[in-house]
Amino acid sequence: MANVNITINGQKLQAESGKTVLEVARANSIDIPVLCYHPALSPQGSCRLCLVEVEKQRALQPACTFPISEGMVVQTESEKVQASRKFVLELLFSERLHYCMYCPMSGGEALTECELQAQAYRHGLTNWKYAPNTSKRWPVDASRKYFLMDHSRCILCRRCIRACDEIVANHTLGVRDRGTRTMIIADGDVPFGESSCVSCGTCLQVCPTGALIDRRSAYMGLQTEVERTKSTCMACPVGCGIEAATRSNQLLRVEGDWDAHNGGLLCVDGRFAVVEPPTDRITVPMMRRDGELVKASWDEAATAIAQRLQSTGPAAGLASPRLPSESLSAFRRFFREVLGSDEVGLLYGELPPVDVGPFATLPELSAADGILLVGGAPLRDQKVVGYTIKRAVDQGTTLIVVNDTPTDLDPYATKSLKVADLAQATTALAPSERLVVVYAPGLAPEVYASLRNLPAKTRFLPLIQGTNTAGAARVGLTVRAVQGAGLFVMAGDDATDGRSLPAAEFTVVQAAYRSAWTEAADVVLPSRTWSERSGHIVNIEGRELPVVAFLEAPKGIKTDAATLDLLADRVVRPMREAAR
Amino acid sequence: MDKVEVSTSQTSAGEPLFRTDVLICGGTGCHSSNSHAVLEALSAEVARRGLADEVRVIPTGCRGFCSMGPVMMMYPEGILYCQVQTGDVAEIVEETLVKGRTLERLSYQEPIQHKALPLYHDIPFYGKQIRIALRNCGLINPESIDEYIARDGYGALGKVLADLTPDDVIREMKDSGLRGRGGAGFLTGLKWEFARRSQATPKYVICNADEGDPGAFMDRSILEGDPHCVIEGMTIAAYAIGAAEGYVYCRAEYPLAIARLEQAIAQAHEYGLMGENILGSDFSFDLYVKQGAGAFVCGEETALMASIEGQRGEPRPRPPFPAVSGLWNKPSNVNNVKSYAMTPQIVLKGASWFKGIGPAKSPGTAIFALTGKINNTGLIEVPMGIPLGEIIFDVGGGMPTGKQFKAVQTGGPLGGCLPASALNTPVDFDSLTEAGATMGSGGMIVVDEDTCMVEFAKYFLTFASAESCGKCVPCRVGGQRLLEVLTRITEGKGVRADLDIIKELSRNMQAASLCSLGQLTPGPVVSGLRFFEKEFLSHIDDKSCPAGQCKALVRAKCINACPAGVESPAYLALVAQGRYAEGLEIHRQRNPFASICGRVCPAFCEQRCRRGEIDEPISIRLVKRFMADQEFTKPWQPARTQAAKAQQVAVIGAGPGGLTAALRLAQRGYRVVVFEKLPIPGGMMAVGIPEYRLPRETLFAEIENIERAGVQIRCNQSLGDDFTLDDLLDRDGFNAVILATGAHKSRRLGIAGEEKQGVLRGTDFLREVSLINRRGQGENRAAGPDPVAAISGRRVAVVGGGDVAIDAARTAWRLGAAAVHVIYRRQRQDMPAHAEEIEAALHEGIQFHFLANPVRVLGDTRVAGVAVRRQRLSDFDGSGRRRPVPADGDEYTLDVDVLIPAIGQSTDLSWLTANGSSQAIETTKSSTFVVADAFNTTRAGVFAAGDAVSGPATVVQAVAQGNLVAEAVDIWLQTGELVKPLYETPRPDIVQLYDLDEYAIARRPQSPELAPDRRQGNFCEVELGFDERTAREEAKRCLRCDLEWLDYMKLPRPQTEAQPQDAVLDVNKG
Repeated sequence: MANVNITINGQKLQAESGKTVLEVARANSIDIPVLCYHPALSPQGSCRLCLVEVEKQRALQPACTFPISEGMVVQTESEKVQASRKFVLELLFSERLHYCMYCPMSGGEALTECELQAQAYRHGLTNWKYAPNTSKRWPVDASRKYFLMDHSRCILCRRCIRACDEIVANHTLGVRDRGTRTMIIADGDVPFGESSCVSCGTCLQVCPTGALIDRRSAYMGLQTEVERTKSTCMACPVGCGIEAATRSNQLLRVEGDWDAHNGGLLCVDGRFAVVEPPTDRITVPMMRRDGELVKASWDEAATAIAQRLQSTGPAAGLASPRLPSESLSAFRRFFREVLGSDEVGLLYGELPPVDVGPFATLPELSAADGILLVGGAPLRDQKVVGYTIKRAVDQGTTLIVVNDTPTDLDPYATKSLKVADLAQATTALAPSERLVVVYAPGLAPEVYASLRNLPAKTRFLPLIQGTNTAGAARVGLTVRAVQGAGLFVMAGDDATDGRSLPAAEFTVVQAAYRSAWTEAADVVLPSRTWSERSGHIVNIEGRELPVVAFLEAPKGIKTDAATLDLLADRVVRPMREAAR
Repeated sequence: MDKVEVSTSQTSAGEPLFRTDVLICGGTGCHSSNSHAVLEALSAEVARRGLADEVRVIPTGCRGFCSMGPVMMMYPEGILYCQVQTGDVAEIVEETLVKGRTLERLSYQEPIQHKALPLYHDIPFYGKQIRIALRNCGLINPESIDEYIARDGYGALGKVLADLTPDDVIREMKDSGLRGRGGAGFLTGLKWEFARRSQATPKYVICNADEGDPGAFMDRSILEGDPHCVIEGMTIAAYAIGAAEGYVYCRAEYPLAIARLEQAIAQAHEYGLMGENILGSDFSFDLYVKQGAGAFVCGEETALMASIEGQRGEPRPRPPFPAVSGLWNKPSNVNNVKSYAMTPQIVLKGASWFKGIGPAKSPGTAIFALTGKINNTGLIEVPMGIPLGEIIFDVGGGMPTGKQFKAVQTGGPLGGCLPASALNTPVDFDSLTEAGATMGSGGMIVVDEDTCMVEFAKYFLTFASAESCGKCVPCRVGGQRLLEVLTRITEGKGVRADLDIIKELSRNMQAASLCSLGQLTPGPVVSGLRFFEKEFLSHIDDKSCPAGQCKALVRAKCINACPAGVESPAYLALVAQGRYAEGLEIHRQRNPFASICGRVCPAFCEQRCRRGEIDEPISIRLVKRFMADQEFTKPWQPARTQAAKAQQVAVIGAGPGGLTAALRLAQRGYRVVVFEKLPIPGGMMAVGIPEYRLPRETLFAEIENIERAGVQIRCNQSLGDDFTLDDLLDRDGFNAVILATGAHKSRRLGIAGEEKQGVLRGTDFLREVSLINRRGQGENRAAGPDPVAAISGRRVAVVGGGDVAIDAARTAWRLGAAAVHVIYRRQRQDMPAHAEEIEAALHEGIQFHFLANPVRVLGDTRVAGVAVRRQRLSDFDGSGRRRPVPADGDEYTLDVDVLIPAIGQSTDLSWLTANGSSQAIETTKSSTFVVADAFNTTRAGVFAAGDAVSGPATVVQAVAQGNLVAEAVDIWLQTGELVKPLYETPRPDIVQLYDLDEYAIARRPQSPELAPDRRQGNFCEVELGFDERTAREEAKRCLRCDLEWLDYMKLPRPQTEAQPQDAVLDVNKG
């Protein structure tokens, strides 16, 4: 694209033609206030706060939609512009119940809190120009589990609707009526909790005011008073980029990282479920005495484990795929080098062949012109992948689903075929320039073989099961049946999900929470949770992503490496001493 | 001009030729007044009479004359019948179709001269029209493509496909100067060029038929009456821009238009005029109809396209413009129905033909749906540039029932209203915008004096804000805030600052809204405030709605219309019950001159009476007269409401204003002296209004009532000659003076010879006559010296059209003038005098010369005739009437001996300069006193009211001022503060004792009058008044709006009282 010359507030600038005035202004640190605009959403030019004066234009023009052109002269702070902004804000404050002191989003002049309030501060609104609405009441919809909608604080900017449409492609939200009777609604105006909403929370993340409020973190601190840490979600192998908001070593909220491969998008598991973990945390080692698990010191526990693992006979180990690669690697090393055992594996997890071709990224999936889904149920198991496929379909991408059982994505597919008809699917997608194949584990080898034969430009996205199954594979851990008289299970913060452990004479479970496994174990060791660990995982794109601890573990809970080091020491020390 | 009288008798299909075609309008307007039944009846009758081979009956689309529907036309004669019902059919067949006679009864009646105009082209409604888009509407059967083809249909498409390149077509359209008829007025050819230049494919042509303005039906009528012309226009546009697909976006509320369109599209397919390889060319085009759900905003092109796409119909910012990225993000061209409808004619007849019609910058014709308070409502197509007034008064036939034109709203709910002063505005895009309104899509709503401009603006705002899509903040919230402000003003809760809020909200909405709906929403309010600010201020300052429309402020329209606020419904209800004294008491709380006003009041109340909207207004004045005349035995003793006060007030002038002020102050305990220059009290009531209208005993009886209240009246006391203001205030101990000196000085004509003997001033003449009679030199007799001698046996000409002129003429006639002429420069309907007075003057044999103006008084020293020049009417003046200007060279002599100019009066202010007043009092250019809100003049302690402040007015208006000035003086004397007075009296809620339904068909009675042959030579009262039964029956026709108002305001209705004591008349049975 050619460059054009434009002038903003007397400043001569060059920018790519096709950009909007707002984009150019932002790139040059010229602040134009916005409300309905969000960089992740298509601009709609409806709040009219970003109106600027463009020479030769009869009316003020919205910076967020107005394209630049050669020689354009723009004023963003003229008297006319400022008057118009103030007018818009005055109207918004008169429309519903914007009594800031009662709102959890109140309190900051920074745009990280309520953007409406911040703009009011910026434009010097000190009183209500038009009498605020005192007679009318707007409902609060609290039918969703994790967050609620207070219509009285809604400014109808429709960011939520666009997020639901354009980012999640779920199309739950819309508007009802027109004029001042306009209301944000779900589906055909049903309570949000009864709607097709998937509680991904993207709408919550983009809401500029206190209309959409997170139940847990409401009133728990201003944005300026929380710490924000970028990390990787451990809920599934998509490994979405997140920003964890913490305060006083408490996780308040998880938000999607706009800059990561998931583009800010998260699912209910990654955004909400993780914030409210089980309460029965294990904080000290425990040993079974007289049939009862009782507190023990690290030294007692480690010594007992070392003795029993050696004395009981060959030892076997199982690790959770939700552990970072570093922990898994240490676990593997502990067994091989300390215990001299190869009887190690993963508790669960499935990994399809990852060598069928080059990995696709999520942005590539989003921009694909053809998607072939072979097996799997991404809307259930790797939700963000499922949303991304739906989004691509909305933009005109051809989706062909190949599966012998019906899947949630069938309604969006151009065609749904049986696995035996895979060739038909690849033929249909042959014209695709940017084909992405999304494939599940557990299919017949000839299926993978035929995928390998697709044109070289094809990209592949494996639907791995288990958060770090791919990382585990790289350190040699896979799902397998292990055998041993002594069993060491490194469960981390994983739940049992009804799975039972193999029988053993002596069982050690390292876990963050009490479970059926810990209740049956001989020795229980405390574990850190994902939010307290640092390390890496390998996600479905085959990329190694950093997991950054953003909470401090309760005192006395060792890292996985320290735990294994201690055990190694207890195993090795008697040998060393004996050898001396 | 489209005066082609092509009979559609011979079609291209070669059907037999008929002797006569009878076209019956099947447009929605006529359809709703049963035209389909007329069509059936006529077809049956034609068949029964064996005329089926000679006469063809054809249903057509709308011919526009909706107020006269069902409309029937007969060709080749061009006969037009109005309001035809099934009962007329047999007569039409017998008289017109068989015997060839036109029926006057069914012909259009020209409203002024009441002349029957049977021929289409003689009717002014059609005479000034030029029909391009509407050329076929009402002339062809819209369901027949053959009839369209017979009228050159698809000729333009053939020419385009055979001879023209797309660029040629675009050039022709650009050269024609056609501007988009949807309202924005963008050059159509240029728009096409933009779409043609866009590289992306496919491209779309879209027709905007989402006509949503209240009262607008231009697009619908075209689609219903001539769907093929739109289809042809769109096909040409598609060829020009390179589109293969088109959509007509038509609201679902137009089922007939949709059905006709779909049928027409099917016919076009059948004839090879649509679809693949049209007329054997390479060009292919398909057209689809998309039904809209009726959201007003979908008329905005981007919202319209969103709606076609299946999305919520909401606009989006432009750029990108549709020509670049429109329907499904592809280049699209959106034009209005009317623009496409004009296209084939432009292609056929050429750009220069079109450009030759109307002004250069807005060529062609404009189509309007004319509605509101106008005689000829309907659909019209006029050349651009025609003055607004010509549309309203010539094509539209002016206001019905003699009401005053007030404003015209153009551009629909997003347009603006223009006042009478804008009637000369040429109708085109730029002139209307400049005047403060918009062209819009073609709605034109005319309103008369009964429309409140605040309420009118609120009506449109209610519509526009309800239709706001709610997407952008300025429109969604701003419209609502604006509506709230207007609502509180109409409820009497507004404050002055609200006007600034209106202006600020409007300015910002116009600047900041996303689409034209929001940008134009404030239009009616802004123009309303610009042209009718006084009316807004009345609501805010006086809590009054002058037009009588705002419910919260108007208890009943009659009370509201009365300048003095007399409670007509209350006393009508009491008269109905025979309780005359109580009724009179209520009347006198606001107006002490019931008997006088029962005779001479112009009865503003009756002009607004809601009963008049059903049949005829209540005869309030005559009921009042009867009520007042029942009081002879026991004269009124006005009640003293407050204790006696030490202060005293002098009133100068014993006219209705001065006497009322004196009465009110006396009732409040002041000592009041009235100084009157003339030998008799009464002012204009005594020396202006002739005795045959107001007998002197009636007048003096009511003046005596005022004296009974303690008011002293001193006659023959002239300010300036006998005393000065200083004398009153400094010497005589008066604490305040009220100047109520009236307007007794006749204006001069300003022509040569006006000083000659025999020229008598109108007011002087009437005064002299009154005083002669008063001096007893001939009780009701026309005998004696001047001015009687000056008139008797002479030929008299009176100049003017007001009450004084008519009074002078009728007086002269009574004095035995040999001939009496009235010379008036405008037309009869423009005369400000009472219609009944004019009628009576005609009965008495007075000759009127309309459109005539005296230019010279002839004779040496005495009047020996007057030279009169004929006038013609030119453009409109500020009063909404056409301005009379001299017609070229046409002058004649009226052979008269006496000339009485009566063209208006002013206040005699000679005393101001003559006397020794220590402080001059400021006056206006029109010789009235300058007064502030409290009626205080520029001299402390001196107040003024009546004609001396307002200029010549009526008795009741003077009374109103008298009430108010007394209130103001009272407040000033008690508190020393000058405040705007509000004269309030308790609200008398009178119970409703009879069943209104019983009077549903009762008619307004007439008063008996003295026969014209018994009037000459005397001044006996002409109008004789109602008898008791008539008065009481008439009073029961009152709809009791005052009680409905109680319901509206959620106030309790008065409890049922005992039956009236006077049960002599059982009127329900009577």
